[in-house]
Amino acid sequence: MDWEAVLLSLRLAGASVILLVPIGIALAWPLAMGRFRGKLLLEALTGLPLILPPTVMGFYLIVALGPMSPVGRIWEHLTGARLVFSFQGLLLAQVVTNLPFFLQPLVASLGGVDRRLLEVASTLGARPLGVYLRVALPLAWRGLLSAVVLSFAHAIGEFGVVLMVGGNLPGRTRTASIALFDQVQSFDLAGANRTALLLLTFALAVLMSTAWLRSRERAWS
Amino acid sequence: MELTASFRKAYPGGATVHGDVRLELGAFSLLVLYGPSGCGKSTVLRCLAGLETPADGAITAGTEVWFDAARGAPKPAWARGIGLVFQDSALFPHLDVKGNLAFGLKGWSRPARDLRVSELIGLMGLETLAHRRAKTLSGGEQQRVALARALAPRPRLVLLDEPFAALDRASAEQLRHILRQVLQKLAVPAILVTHNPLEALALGDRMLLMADGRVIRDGAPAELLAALEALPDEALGAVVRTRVVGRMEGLLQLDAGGAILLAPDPGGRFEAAYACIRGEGVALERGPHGTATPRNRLPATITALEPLGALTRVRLDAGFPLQALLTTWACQDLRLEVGQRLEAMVKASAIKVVPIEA
Repeated sequence: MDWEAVLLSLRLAGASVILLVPIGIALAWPLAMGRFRGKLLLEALTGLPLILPPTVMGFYLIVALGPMSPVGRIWEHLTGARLVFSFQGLLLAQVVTNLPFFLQPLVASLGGVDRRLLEVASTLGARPLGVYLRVALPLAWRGLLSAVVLSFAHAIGEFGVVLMVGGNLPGRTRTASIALFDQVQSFDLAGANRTALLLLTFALAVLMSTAWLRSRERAWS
Repeated sequence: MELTASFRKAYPGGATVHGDVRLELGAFSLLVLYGPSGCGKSTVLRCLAGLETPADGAITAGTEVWFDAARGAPKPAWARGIGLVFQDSALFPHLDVKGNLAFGLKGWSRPARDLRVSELIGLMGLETLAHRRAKTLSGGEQQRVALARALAPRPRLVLLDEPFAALDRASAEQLRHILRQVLQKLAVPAILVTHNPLEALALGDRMLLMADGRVIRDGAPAELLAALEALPDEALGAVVRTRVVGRMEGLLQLDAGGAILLAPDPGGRFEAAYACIRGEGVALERGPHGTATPRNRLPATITALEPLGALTRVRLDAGFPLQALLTTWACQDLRLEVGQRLEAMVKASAIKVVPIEA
């Protein structure tokens, strides 16, 4: 078992969830409750990673984060290092790729919050942000938890985008799913079996826990 | 300071609601918005609250403009200083009773907030419920908390959208009793939306009658309801304001403009009540006393005869407007005519007493 790769996967997934929580919470509100021009476009853009081939996603991310891009140049100017093929670059790519896995359960849960509670909150003097943070979000906490669990799990297993943006650098960008790919390529089927089983067990546990959370949400609401 | 609202709200389906409301703010009074389901009462309330934006018109509170179609963005709900109570309490399920009451007090200092919360807990009799979650409360308790929550931030106006509709009779009566007392004590005016005539009678100082999306009459609840003949079955016939002059053996003695009526006592402490008299329970007799008991026997003059097929409605002046519903052949037997003087006998069981909350 390539424990270095497994640990890197955990670090990467954990860091991307830490970034996804504020970004996702900020984006979920207009998507769940807002009525504004461009909402459809925002929905489509944030959902794009769900259906786009990972290679296409990876290609555009390389273009967006590469040394010729504004983001890549600013990063290089500030840190002296390149963004692509680095942990940080991989982290940004993971955040973008996993955004829909975070947003979908949260937006669905927010959409289920009784509108009258939000209306009462506003008549009690709460401004829109206050209504969101003090009423809607606390009532959608199971959706938020599902969002965290699902996006973490998906970040652990992501392959295509990681390979495109991060390459395969041991200790820096080689995650568990890429290590599995390497093991198969080098006919280390016993090793591949162990890595695959670990990822499979993890995915099953995640799906069961989110299904349980959803059933509790229905029972609660 | 006066709330003045005159606006139009149009829905995509074609329905249009016109809101015309005037109410003095700063002192207690209860305005009833009465009408059948779907006539636009709740829409008027939602526009006043700032939860819906009218298509045109204006809403002002004194010099403050809440909405003016000519001026653009309306004042948002959070800045209007109003309290709102829905039919089903809409308490925040993630907070306990205290948390619900304190919700609107953000920005208050902690001691001031704690003081206000305990003040309302005392006023609404919520002492034993302070740390309970909404889901564990009965319907009546939830509505008391919802009312206390709406009153906590010292609103200028409270809007009540059918607050008794989801309650059983006993809880509704209890809340009705508390509602007027508390609003009066805190000197907060309120607008109550209802389609229940008994609530309108028991609580309203003034009533706006709505139909087909507009206000069609403005007046005293008893007069409007009687004129509309929209009284409940118990009250179909006549409604008269009375003073309680005695209580005995489950009966009330009511002074109705000089005439004494005996009626079943619904219980509770009250000094004034509406006597709602069913037309079927009123018999007419010519000449001197017959065999009937002299109680509830009133001298009356016929003011109108209205044939309704097999039945005839006889309108009477008995010191107050009264109606009798007789078969048409009985009217012919009695040779009834307009202007004729006779005696009206009212069955005590045909009188429904609606206490007027103090």
